Amino acid sequence: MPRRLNPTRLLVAGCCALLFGSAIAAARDKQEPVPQWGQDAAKTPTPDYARDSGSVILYDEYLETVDNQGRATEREREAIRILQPQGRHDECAIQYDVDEKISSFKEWTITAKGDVFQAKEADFSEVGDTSVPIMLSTRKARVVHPPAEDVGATIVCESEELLAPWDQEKIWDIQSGIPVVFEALELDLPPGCAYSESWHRFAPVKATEIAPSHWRWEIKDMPRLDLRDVKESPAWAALAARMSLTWGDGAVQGKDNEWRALGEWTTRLESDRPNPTPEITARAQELTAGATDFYTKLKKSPSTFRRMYATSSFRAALVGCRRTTQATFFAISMVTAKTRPRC
Amino acid sequence: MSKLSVLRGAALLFAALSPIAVFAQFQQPTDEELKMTSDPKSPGAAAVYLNIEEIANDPMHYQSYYARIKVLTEKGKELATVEIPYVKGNKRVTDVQGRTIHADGTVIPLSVKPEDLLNEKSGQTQFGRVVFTLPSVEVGSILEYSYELRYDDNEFSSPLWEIQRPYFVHSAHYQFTPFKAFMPNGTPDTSTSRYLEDEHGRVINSLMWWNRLPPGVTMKTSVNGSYSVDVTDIPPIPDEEWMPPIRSFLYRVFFYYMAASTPNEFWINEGKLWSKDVDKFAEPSNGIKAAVNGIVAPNDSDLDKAKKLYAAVQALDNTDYSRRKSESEMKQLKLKVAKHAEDTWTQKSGSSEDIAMLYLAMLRAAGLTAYATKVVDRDQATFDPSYMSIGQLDTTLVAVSIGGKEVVLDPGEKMCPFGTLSWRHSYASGIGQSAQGLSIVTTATQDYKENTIRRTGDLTLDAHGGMTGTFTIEMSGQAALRWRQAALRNDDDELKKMFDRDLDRIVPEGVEAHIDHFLALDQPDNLLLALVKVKGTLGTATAKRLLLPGFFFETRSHQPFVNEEKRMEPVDMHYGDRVTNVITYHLPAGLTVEGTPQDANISWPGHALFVTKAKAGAGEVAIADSLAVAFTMAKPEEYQDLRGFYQKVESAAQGALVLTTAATPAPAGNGN
Repeated sequence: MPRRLNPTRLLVAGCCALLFGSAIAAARDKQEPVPQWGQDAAKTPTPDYARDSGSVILYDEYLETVDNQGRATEREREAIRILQPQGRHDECAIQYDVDEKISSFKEWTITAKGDVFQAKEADFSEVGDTSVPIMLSTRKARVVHPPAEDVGATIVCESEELLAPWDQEKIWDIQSGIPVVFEALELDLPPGCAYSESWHRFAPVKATEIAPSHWRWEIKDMPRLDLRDVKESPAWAALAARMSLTWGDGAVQGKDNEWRALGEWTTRLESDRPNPTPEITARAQELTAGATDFYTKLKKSPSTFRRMYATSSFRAALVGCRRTTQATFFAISMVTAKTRPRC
Repeated sequence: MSKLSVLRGAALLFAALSPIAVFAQFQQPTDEELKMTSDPKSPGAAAVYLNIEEIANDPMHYQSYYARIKVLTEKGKELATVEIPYVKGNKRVTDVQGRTIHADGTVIPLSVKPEDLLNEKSGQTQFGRVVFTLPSVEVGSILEYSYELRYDDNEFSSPLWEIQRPYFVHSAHYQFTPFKAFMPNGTPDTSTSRYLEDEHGRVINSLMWWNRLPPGVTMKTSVNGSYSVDVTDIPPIPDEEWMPPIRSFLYRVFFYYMAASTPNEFWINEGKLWSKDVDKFAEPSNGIKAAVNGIVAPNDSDLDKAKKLYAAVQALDNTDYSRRKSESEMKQLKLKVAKHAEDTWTQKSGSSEDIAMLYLAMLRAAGLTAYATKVVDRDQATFDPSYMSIGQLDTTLVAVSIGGKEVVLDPGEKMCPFGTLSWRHSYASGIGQSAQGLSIVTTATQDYKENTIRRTGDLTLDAHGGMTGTFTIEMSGQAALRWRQAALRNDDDELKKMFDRDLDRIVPEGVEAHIDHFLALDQPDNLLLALVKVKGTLGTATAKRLLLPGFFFETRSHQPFVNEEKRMEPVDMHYGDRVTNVITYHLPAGLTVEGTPQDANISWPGHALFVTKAKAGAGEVAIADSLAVAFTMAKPEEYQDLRGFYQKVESAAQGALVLTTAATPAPAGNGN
């Protein structure tokens, strides 16, 4: 039997829905204040060396927090001041892939007059990696298009991302196409966990242990690397300063130790490659039945196998090995990590 | 009757970007195909399409695609990766199949699932792409694949057939079965209780198609209710220098469901809708009238009114040259999207379109007779009225009657002088309002005398070819507009770097040229000047001579068309112009002029003229050259004359300036 609703209840329900809906919309639209670090960064004066640049990074800080399994969460805080119209192209973005998760990404713009705008959902977009189609890259970037992005404005971005479980390295790109006034990297490790660092095109900066197992590196006044008018220059990556920070298995000190460690790790992964599975053995024996010497055995193999044999990676297959995919490499690496006490 | 929607925009996007369509069963290759190492029908090709098949079936809501490709060189292997773009939501890519066949007949099937990747996601709209790479591709392989695109039952998506491809196509079959009511005449049982409506809610009453097909090829119909096209030996998309927007010339077929029966009816209906929107936006409201009264004086002539109002709208923030405000910013600033010209004036900001419409409103408020004209961007496309889409037109111009004469203006083009159009909007067609109603219009071509570059230089040489000096570069018309607009998007330093990069391309080897400063960069009605300093080493010194390039500028670049023997497509020079160089070399003591480039007067009557002259005087030599190109477009049949002209120019430009050291008198001797 159909129910007739009390009109008064209907009215009240309608009002509640309206208020509730308004509250949600209001909550969504409500502007959060610029975090204190952003406000402080925005007060940084523009240095003279940056005045011919389209924009300048006033502040850029990374915090890598590593858990007991060696998995890192990365927080970045960045403030960029736009100095020229062409500087509007320097936006904040965060890259991620299938094993990574962005837990937050916020942006504020502080105009030259001091007005504050916060980017809303409509100001964000996601872009895929379309640079090389054959790579089938699942990598994406979440990009913010800051509101009020005018000359004199400061863009303040803060993000947090859970990195891939196998990722135990941070490449700190300390030099970019625009100058950097202040930048810092912090590494927070579990007790007893080691790290190693290597520097490229920059004198190593000594870390400060600001808390147990928590280190911080700081760099000031990094000039930009502008190769646009440099003819026949080497690749950008060859010239730009950077620092590589590793923890976990890769954290060995000293260059020789690092290469030795890499070799040992690779050898461990490949150690059982020459061992054929019963299925491969059976098939190889079937194909080469009756052959008395190696050359005859090779001739008896199908042409595809002969071509494959020409490459070392498939030579092992012919004599009975598994082909190890990258995922397997990392799975082995992770398994190894779990079986030893490791950060 | 139930209604169904017509999905056009996304389908066009998809079809415009997707590779060829396919459906046929996989085929056994012939021995000839397997052994092929080159294709006599497409010499030098990296790959060729052996077969293509696209089947679109609207009643069943799918399109299927099939391609068979022969890889002939390493470059052709790039076709092994297939990207299928689509708009997420009501379309999905299904049934992907593929295989690679080596030259020895070995078949390697595609055994991995295609990847569904993101292109871009913004708001509710997401563009994705399905990507797969055929396995084990080698030179000599045949690639074969197929897939289907399926869409919702309420969507009808008429196809776009891109018949001409980057590579030669041996044969292709295209077939389309439309919504029942629009099947070809003679198809049995086309009655239906359903109807289609377009994005405006209008009932669709016809199926149209626009086509550009090879000679002898026509659209066929069949009693099973389909339309089809079969083609063979389709040449690849041409790639020639100075082409008009190529998409307008390729072999293609568009189908579209329309609420009009003929192109004429379409343009009348669509034009009326557009004109109504224009008049609504450009209503000379009280606010506009008040603004106009504050800008013009009652006794101003029509020309003065038009100029003053033009200057006023040009002074506004044109967001196409600065930046558009985001939705959140508009909300926070309590701004609204302009729905009327007065909104643009109040906000002192708008897009090029908003500003053009504001200017129209102001002219009407000032009592002038003014109309809107919507044209195509000639850098992107050419207008084709037989293709029934107003989306081809993207720029609004304003035509105003001054002294009984119609003057077409481009107020949405920032920094464009009064009376000048951007070259992208000149010789461009579209639709226009007028006292007589709507009509198809074409704007005038540009007079080459309006677009000038004049480089005047004073260079001081030393005995070894070392050189210092200055140039003044005067620009008018399109060259000036280009740099003035670049100045809006970049600061002074960056602008100078951009200018220096341009100079680097045209000065001789061994010479450095740097701009010192611009003059009148923010005065669009005046000549734009650039003062340039140069230094370096010019020419080659021998024991007794100094050999210099006869013409200072563009010695490193070649004249266009010289190396291109044949021409398939028309030539589009963008606009006519005149470039003049006058260089005066001040010679050091001891150097005299032995030879100068021969004076030249090379003419292509009615089209172009190249004149050079050299004059030697005491301690200096002046060389002048002037190239005037007085045409915008040239047909393929005029190409040999065009090429001949540029070949002569190239030859004349090779002339050298030869300086000789004066003979050193022998020292006074003892008479022996």
